[in-house]
This record gives sequence, structure tokens and C-alpha cells, in this order.
Amino acid sequence: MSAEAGTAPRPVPTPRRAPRIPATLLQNRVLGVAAFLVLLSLAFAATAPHFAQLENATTIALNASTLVVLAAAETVVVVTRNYDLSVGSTAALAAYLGLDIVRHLPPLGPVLVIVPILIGLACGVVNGAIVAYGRVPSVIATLGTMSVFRGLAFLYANGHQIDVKDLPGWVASTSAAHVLGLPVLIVIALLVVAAGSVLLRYLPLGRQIYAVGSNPAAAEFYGLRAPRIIFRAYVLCGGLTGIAAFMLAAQASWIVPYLAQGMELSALAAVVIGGVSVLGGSGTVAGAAVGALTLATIDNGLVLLGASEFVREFVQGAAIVAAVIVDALIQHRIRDLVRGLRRRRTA
Amino acid sequence: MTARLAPWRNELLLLGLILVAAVWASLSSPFYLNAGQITYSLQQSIAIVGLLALGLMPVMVIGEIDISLPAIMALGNIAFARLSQGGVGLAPALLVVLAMTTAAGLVNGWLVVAFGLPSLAVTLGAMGAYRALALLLGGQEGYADFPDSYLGLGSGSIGPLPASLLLLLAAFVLFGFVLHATVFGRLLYTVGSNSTAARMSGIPVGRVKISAFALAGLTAGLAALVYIGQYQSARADNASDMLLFIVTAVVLGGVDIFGGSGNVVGLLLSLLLLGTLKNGMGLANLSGPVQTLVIGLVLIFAVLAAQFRTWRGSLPGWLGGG
Repeated sequence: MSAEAGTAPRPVPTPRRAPRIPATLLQNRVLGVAAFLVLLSLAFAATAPHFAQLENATTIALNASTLVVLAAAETVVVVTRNYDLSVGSTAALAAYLGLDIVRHLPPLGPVLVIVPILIGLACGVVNGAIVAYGRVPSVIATLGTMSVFRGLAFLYANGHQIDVKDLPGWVASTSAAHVLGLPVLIVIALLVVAAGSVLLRYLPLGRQIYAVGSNPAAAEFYGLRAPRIIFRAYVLCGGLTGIAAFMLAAQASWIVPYLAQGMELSALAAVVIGGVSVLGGSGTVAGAAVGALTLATIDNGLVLLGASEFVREFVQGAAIVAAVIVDALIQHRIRDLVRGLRRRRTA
Repeated sequence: MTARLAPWRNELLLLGLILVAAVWASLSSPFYLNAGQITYSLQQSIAIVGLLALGLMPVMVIGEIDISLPAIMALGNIAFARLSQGGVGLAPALLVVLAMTTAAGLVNGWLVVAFGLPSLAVTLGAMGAYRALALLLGGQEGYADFPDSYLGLGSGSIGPLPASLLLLLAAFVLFGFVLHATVFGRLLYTVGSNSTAARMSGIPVGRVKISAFALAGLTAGLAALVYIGQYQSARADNASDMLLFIVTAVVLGGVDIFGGSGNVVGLLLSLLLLGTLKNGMGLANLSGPVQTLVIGLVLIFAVLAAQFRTWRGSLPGWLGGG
């Protein structure tokens, strides 16, 4: 290390030897969640009538699509070792304010999707500035902005709600439209997952996000500006939340300021169930998407079985605790493995 | 004189803000300046959240957080409902509920300590689980058939003062003693300011942390009794919007968000400030979400102001840096 001390800050470090075992383990982790999802589906298929039908699978995917996008947004922030409790409120503000602006703009067509996305980005800028540059713990900062964004949506709405029928036709028709035989909402979710995966896996910002999340001090040592990277992660999260806001609005018949209430919890649940470490630095958007799909499947199966809503909530809460514990156990195991490797090399 | 007052800067600032808020409230409504109105509205706005915030304080002093406290209280509410349905007297019911909520806090603390997990993630999951447990125990309907003995603490008064406010004050005195004058209290601050150093010097850090969480659970159980007295009903979704208020109260009260500092006087003053603010906003006819927005802004400004000291060094001189 001392040989590098005088050289210019290096770009993203590319760890080679030690993380090999952890990497395969972590990949197995997503496989583990996917396997759980398959088993769960088989169990529901055996017990719940009408579960194992193509139509129902489409329903699950449609219901999951918004949560997949929100979970992708949350993943970007959680990988940096932070949280965003404001995604539900950001979605409400972006949907209400954004589509109200769209209503008053000249009819430019679907290009105007950019309006809710811009509002989401702005919310991300606020969160990112407070957390990254104000150095406020993310839980407390986003707990505050959660109520601020929601309150702004209520203030702006002033007791009104937006009838989706008053909006340009393309908004409402989004939920029914198909591309290549797939519902557009599912296509959007797939695109977001694909783009998010590429970004986190291959682009510099993505690698920097992992570097900062797995060891902020080491990242700074290598010349990465942790605050700037965390800031960008929040902005990205806000933008993706803007997309989710549009998807929610397209599915609703009325846009209300209490849209997406509590969805930050579902998004976080999807993220941890999908194997994104709450300790930062590991996990993928695809994993979070599988997590969201798992939650949607549990929902759907329990409804078909006629179980009450409480059972669903209990399962969601218990699943978070279980996922977090599994995460901790895996992290301990990885640490032991790495330590063992080091010891063997020095011996 | 100023040197002697310097350590109390935060408390003096809060005192000043309380006066400003009270003046604003009395200017915006002719009904504000009335002893009965003030005590009644304080009882409504801080008797329950005050206890929860007091419970959260030791957890934040050790540098952790417990966002499941409102859910634990809701679980306590439902337990009271079930016990009163079964004809159990107040004293045994209170014991059962306190044991239950303390156990809930204990589980949170154990999960955090045993697995080295971030407390937000643990208590986020626990929040869902406890609330769902409350729903499973109590069903979706509320229960409003409490005997008078259950309601006395939350709705009765002793002399001119509401019993729940006196209980809050007593709890503050007790917590002040425990936090600032006992070995356990000092251990909390030691663990919160540097847990590695604490471990090195032989302090059972894990046990101290778990005790803090358990103490928070215990306080939430007491808050449950005040809650059912004040609202005379119990539902599993009770208090789902209280988290923001209690976190704001603790942060505004000068408890360091990274642990290790803060005192009960600051917390009491910040509760009085938030209570006055809420009272004024209510009299000014602001809607619920707008009141929440204001509390959220207060939280953000309070943390930013607290952080100001740490990042002042990196600011240019004309912005107060150096």
C-alpha cells in the first residue's frame, strides 16, 4: 500500500483474488431466492385454485411491475449503505404534480413521461444533498423528506384529485397496451432491470457505488469522492422512482396525494428479500426484482387462498427479518472465508 | 455567565423557540392563551409520543434506532383489549403487557447484537411483524369496551393537571436519574460514543445495547396504557404515524444521531416545543398532512443544524468555517 501512497488517485479498484468465493456465494444467493420463489409457486399451485394459469402469472407480473422499479431504485441507494424511506412519497409527489403539469402542457405525447421523472430526480437531489453533503444519517434524513414530499403533494392537491380520464389518452392506455405481446408495464420493468443491471455491473458509476458501499474508507483512500457518488445514487433512485410514479398513475383511475403510501416498506422488503445486503456493497437489481416478484406472488397466492390481509403483512415482516438474518450469516461466513484465505497465504 | 451557560446552548435555544411558538399561537388564535387549553392540548399532543420518545432516547444514545416502537405500542394496546375482554384486572394486565412489550424490545436488541445487524433493518422487519401480530390478536375491528380502571391514567386528572402529563413528568425524572446518575446510564453513553473502546475496556457492550432496547419496549408498554385511556379504544393500526414525531423530538432535543450524547432536559423542551407548534397549527386549521410536513421540515433542519458543527471546518471562512 505504501508504494501507492504518493501516486495520483486511482480509478475504481478492480479486486481480483479474494472476492472470488464471495462472488459465487452471492450469485448463489440470488439463485436461492429464485429457488424459493419456484418452491413457493409450486406450493401455491398445489393448494390455491386458479394459481397455475398463464393469466394469473400475467396478473402477478403486472402487480409486481411497479414494485420491481421501486425496488431497483431502492437497491441503488441500499448498495451505498444508505436507505431511502421517501420513495413512496416521492412517487406520490411525482405522480400528482407531474401529471397535473402534463395536463396543462401542449399534447406532446408520451415524451412527457419526462415530467414525473424530472420531479423524481429533483426529490433525489434533495435527499442526496442532505445525506451525502449534509452528512445526515439516511434514515433520519429520508424519514423527514418522506413527510415533506407527501405534505407537498397534499398542499399542491389542496383536496382535489386527478381523474385519469382528464389526462391525455396515452397515460391511461399505457396500462392496457402491449409490446410484442407483453404488457407495456412489464416491458418497462424489464427495461429498468436490464438498464440498472448494466449500470451497476459495467459502468464506472455502478462500480463506484459498490466500492463506496462495501468500504467507504477504502473508497476514499483510492480517490473516490464518496459524497458525490452517494449523491448520484440518490438522484438515480429519484429518477427511477419517477418512472414508478408514472406506472402507478397509469394503473390508477384517480391520482390522489396518498398514492403509494407505505410502498417504501414494500420496496425495502423486496430489496432485502432479493439478497441486497443491508450492510451495503453487495446485491443486484435483478435480485431485488426477484424479491419484488416473490412479494407479489405471496400476495397473489394468499388472496387466492382467501387468507386475510394480516397474514400477508406478517409474512412480509417476517420475511424481512429472515432475509436480514440470512444476510448477516452469509456476511459472517464470507468474512471467515476471506480471513481463512489470508491466513493460508501468509502461512 | 455566558461561559457557564454555554453547555446549555441547545436547551436555551429550545426555550426561546417555545416562547416564539407560544407567541405565534396566541397571535393566530384568541383561544390559545388559556391554562386549560394548553394543558389539554399538551396532553393530546405529547403524553403518548413523549413516553415513546423517552424510550427511544437510550436507544439513540447508544447510536442505534428502533422504528418499531409505535408498532410495539399498538401490540400493547391490543393486548390490553384482549385482557380486558377476558375480565383481567388492571394490575395483572399491566404486568402482562409490560412483559410483552419489553420482550418485543429485547428481541429487537438481541437481533441487532447477536447478528451485528443495522438496527433500522431489524426494526423495520420487526415493525411489520409486531403490527401483524397485533392484527392477528385483535382482528381488524377496534375494541372500545374498556372498564374505567383501564382508562384512568390516560384520561383522568390529578388536581388541575392531566394524570398522563404527570406520569410523563415522573418518567422524565426517573429516566433523568437512570441516564445521568447511575452506572447503567453512564455505560449507555460510553457505548454510544465509542463502542470499540467500551468493549476494549471490558464493558459488556452487547448486554448494555440489549438493555437499552428492552427499556424502550417497556416504555412503549406504558405508553399503550396512556393511549387506550386517551382514545378509549384499541386498534391494531393505532399510532402508525407517530414515528416521525418521536424521532424528531429526540433529534431536536439534542441527542446526537451517532450516539453518545444528549440529555432528558433537551428532550422535554423539544417535546414542549413540538407540542406548542402542533397546538398552534391545529388552532390555525392546518390539515394533518401539512402539520406532518412542518414536523418533517423541523426534523431536517434540526439534523442539519446539529451536523453544522461537524462540517463547519470544511466551509469557507465567510460561511463561518475555519
